Amino acid sequence: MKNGIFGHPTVNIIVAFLILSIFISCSGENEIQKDEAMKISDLFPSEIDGWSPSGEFETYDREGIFTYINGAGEVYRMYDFREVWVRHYEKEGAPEITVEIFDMGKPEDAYGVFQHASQGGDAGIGRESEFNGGLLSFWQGCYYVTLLPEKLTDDTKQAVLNAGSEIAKKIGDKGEKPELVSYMPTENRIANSLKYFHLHTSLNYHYYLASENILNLNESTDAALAVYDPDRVYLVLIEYPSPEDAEDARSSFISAYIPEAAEEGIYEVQSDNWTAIDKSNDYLIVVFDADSKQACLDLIKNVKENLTK
Amino acid sequence: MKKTGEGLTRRDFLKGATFATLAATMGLPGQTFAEGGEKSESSRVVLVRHADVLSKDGSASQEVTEEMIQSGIRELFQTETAEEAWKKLFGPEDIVGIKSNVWGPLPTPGAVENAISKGLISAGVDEKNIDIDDRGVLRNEIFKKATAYINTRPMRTHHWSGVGGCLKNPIMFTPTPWAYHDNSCADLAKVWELSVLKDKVRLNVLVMFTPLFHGVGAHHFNAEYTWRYNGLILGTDPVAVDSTGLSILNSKRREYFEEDRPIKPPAHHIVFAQTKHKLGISDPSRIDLVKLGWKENILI
Repeated sequence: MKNGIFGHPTVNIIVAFLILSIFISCSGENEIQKDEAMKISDLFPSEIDGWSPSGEFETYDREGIFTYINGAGEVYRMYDFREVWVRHYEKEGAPEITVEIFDMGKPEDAYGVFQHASQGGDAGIGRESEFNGGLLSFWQGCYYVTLLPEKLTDDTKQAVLNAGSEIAKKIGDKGEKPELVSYMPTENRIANSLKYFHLHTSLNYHYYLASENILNLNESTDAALAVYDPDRVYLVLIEYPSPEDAEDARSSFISAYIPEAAEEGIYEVQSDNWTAIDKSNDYLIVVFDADSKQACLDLIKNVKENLTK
Repeated sequence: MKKTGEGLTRRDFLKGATFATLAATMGLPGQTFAEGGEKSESSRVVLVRHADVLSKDGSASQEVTEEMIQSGIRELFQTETAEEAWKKLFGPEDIVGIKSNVWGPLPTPGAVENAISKGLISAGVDEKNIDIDDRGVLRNEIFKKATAYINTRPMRTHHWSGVGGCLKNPIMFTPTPWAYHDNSCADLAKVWELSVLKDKVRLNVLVMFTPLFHGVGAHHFNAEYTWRYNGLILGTDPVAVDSTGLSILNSKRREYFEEDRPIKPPAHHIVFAQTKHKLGISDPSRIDLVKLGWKENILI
């Protein structure tokens, strides 16, 4: 839902006190939620290089996000998205700046949503950042943050960089990347190709595999994907809740995608185009588009070594 | 591997003429070559462009837009006059809803809506039986009584469905749009089976005045990734109309990025609209594309 919360600074303080009084008398769960919400509003700059807040804060939860960003809200809902807070900043004669702070529930998912559409180009802000197409985005802690000027000028660029730095400083806690991505080999990995996600729709976004969910991905699975030179080989590493779940997914994949491979789990799907799948405890390792059987085996071996380090 | 179109895998797209051409539609790898065998069905689509449809400030000229719509519909139905074409589609007994799109950064231009209304009136539709709406279609009295619809919106890349075009535009005819979001909107064509809509959309007009070919940020919009294409795509088959628009976006992306950079996620709902839902034709080799007007940088 879109919620107009604050307006005039004085009203802000009064409303803040009222909310604080109310949730002190509420249940512990509500107290935690409200307390968290208050912290998000505190992350916004009070002004940005002469740009002042315009209008009220807007907030959207998992349902309301569709109102705010149409069907694209699904991208955030693929992760543990809780809510987004939005504020617009105005300055006379200058383009508007919009700041959005997404509470992604946990650092791993803030990282995942940042990497989802990342194109590279470190802006030096937060845990990881980029400045592309006029948009500054970064993740830090549980938060994914975007700052978008209506028009990119030297002034708006500097303003969003300054505001981004201020927000990152206020967030403080840096947050850790998902452990899973540390198992992905770094040698020959194409820059910026590393992705982290949970669902089949995310896999299809990065590498269209199948219309059906043949790897049994779901909210309780964690997956990493990266692309390797030479020949743009795709490597997918998935952690399942149990070895049995991993085995079920392996069988499903072989049956739906490479039935010719049978138990060996490796097959040349086209001339010089190999696909392989292997299992290690809770993990499945899948290789696509390798130019040889050996290239598949080498990547799988590298991952297995990383898993046992 | 399933090969029926019910559930497709990457391997299906990698081999076989039918799926290879569809793969090209989606920007997936797969060889594009002319299909052998019979082509039992095709769809006629008209692309009409005009160099002067947009003013310096980007607003659409009413006069030029009307000229484009009229020449487009005349060519689509191969009639002597535009009025004849309109009368093939609509008559005085009709109540018509024009399903527009109000998305802030790239709405359906008023000039297009007005030009369509004029066309309807020329076919004898009573002005009071015509209305234009987007998000209020389920509450709009004209839409509730409509005997027919015209479906029009701008073409753009979309964060979740790959692209937003004519196929996606009627999503507001369901009170639960999110019910169609699964698997990156793979089954968007199902919307067209809603009783309120089924067989009632008689014309689709995909606006290609300033299409969005790439998106950034939460709202997936930056004017940097639009360009003045100055076109309209008209057809009775929304799948063929969107497939044609998608081909133009893919060409623009190749030109802009100087490499093949497929739209993410792939707009597979356009392919499934043909292979699974049989709503129309997405395979470019089976689209009878007629090009009218301005040819510079046509990209298709």
